[in-house]
Order: sequence, then C-alpha cells, then structure tokens
Amino acid sequence: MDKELATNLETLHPAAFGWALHCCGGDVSRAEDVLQNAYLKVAQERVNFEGRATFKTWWFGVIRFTAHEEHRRVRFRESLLGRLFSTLTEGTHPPPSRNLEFNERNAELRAALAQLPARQAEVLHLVFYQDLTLAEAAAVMRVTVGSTRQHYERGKARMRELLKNELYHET
Amino acid sequence: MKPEFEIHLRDRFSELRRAEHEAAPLWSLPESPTPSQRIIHRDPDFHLRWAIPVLIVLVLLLWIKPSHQSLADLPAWPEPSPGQWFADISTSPSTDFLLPTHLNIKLP
Repeated sequence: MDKELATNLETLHPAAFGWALHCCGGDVSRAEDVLQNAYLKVAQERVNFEGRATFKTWWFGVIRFTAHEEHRRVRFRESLLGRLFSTLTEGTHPPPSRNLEFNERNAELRAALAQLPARQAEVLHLVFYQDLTLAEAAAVMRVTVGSTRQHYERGKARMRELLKNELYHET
Repeated sequence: MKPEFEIHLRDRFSELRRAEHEAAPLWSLPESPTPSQRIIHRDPDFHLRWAIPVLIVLVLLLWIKPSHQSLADLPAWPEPSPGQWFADISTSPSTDFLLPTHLNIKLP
C-alpha cells in the first residue's frame, strides 16, 4: 500500500473509529469489524481515492457504505431464512454486541442522538464531533447541501428539546 | 437557533469524542493479500447469498413444470367445423350508419 495513504489512514484512525461507532449505533464489536473491513477494502484496492473530495470525506464515505453492508448482513443473519441456513451450514457467527461504558453525560448525549432520525444524527455527528463543514457532511452522506442543511437545522432543534432539562440545570 | 446552544452541543460532542477516541482499538492495517489469497478470501455469506435464490428458482421450476400425466387427463379439444367460426360478410348488414358522416366512404 502507498505509504502516504497508510499515514493518512493512521492519522484518521481514532476519528474513523468514532464514525464507525456512530454508524453501528454504538456497538463496539460491529464498529471494529466495519473498520477492519473498510481497511481491507483499501488494502485490496477495492476502493481507491481519486482526489475528487478531501481524503477524510472519501474515507468516511467508505466507512459509511461498509457499515450499511454490515447492517444488511446482520439483518439477513437475524431473518428466519438466515437463521435456518446458519443451522444447516457452519457459518461464522458474529461476536456479541458490546457497548462502551460512558459517564452519565455522554450516555445522555448518545441516548438523545439515538432518538433522532438517522440522517439528522449523522449530520450532527459529522459537524459537531468530526468538525466537518455542511458541504463535507453532504459529500459523506451523498445528499445535496440543501438537504443536509435541513437535516442539520431540524436535528439541532430536536437536540435542543431533548437536552432542555439539562440546559436548565446548568443555567 | 442561539449560538450558545451550538457551543454547548460542540462541548458535549467533544467530551464524547475524547471518551471514544480513548477506547479506539490500536491501529493495525490488514496486509494486502496476494492474488491467490484474494480468491480464497470471500465474504462468509457469499455462497449463501447465491444459494438461496438458486434454490428458490429450482423449486419453482420443479413445481411449475407440467407433467405428461396431467396433460393426458385434459378433455379432448373440440374439432371445429369449417365455416362455423367466422361471420359471413355477404349477409351481414352494413353498419356504416354508426360512423360519423365525415368518415363514411363512398365507393364509386
């Protein structure tokens, strides 16, 4: 693999883990799997950075897509047909889900984010957690900037409602 | 939206980021496999995903395929008598009067 590419990936590793964790609904085991699968895609040159977006935007798009693939796989495994086939064949069993132990404030934020529609939660994570601009978030989410702005405003308003009690306590 | 809420939200997210970054697994990049290994490494559900549709199609084909016995059980096809199935053009009355006037063709 290209040394520059490896350096970029290493620099972004903690942020990429945070994004994978968000895409997997806070499940650490699944996030680790998703990240490893995404790295494997890069190592096998199944995905290539062509410089059309920033490296971070491209890499986050790859992780998001890989997480969606993993989600579809999990849904198939959990379906009746999937369970039937797993009993007939010696399929690989996914590791049990594992969540990080957060302090009360972080747990509350995670719970509030979980109540938001997926797109709103995604854009808030990308803007506030990953420090991306709305245009960059739009590129990761593969939607228009206008649509992203709408999700962003609605998400912020909803978060304000959800964290209202805590804001009152602080002021 | 008040900017102070944005600042508050940013603080909360940076707190979460710190906690999650601390819990991040160690950086390890998988080695790029050789071409022969690439063929071996496949998604564990790869065969399963193909097997299911193929199985469904096979079952449907076997189910739908007509047997010779069932064809023999069908009643005999009625033999048509010539001339019975078509209207006689010469005896049928003209229906030109049903058409609008401008569509009536007058033959010389």
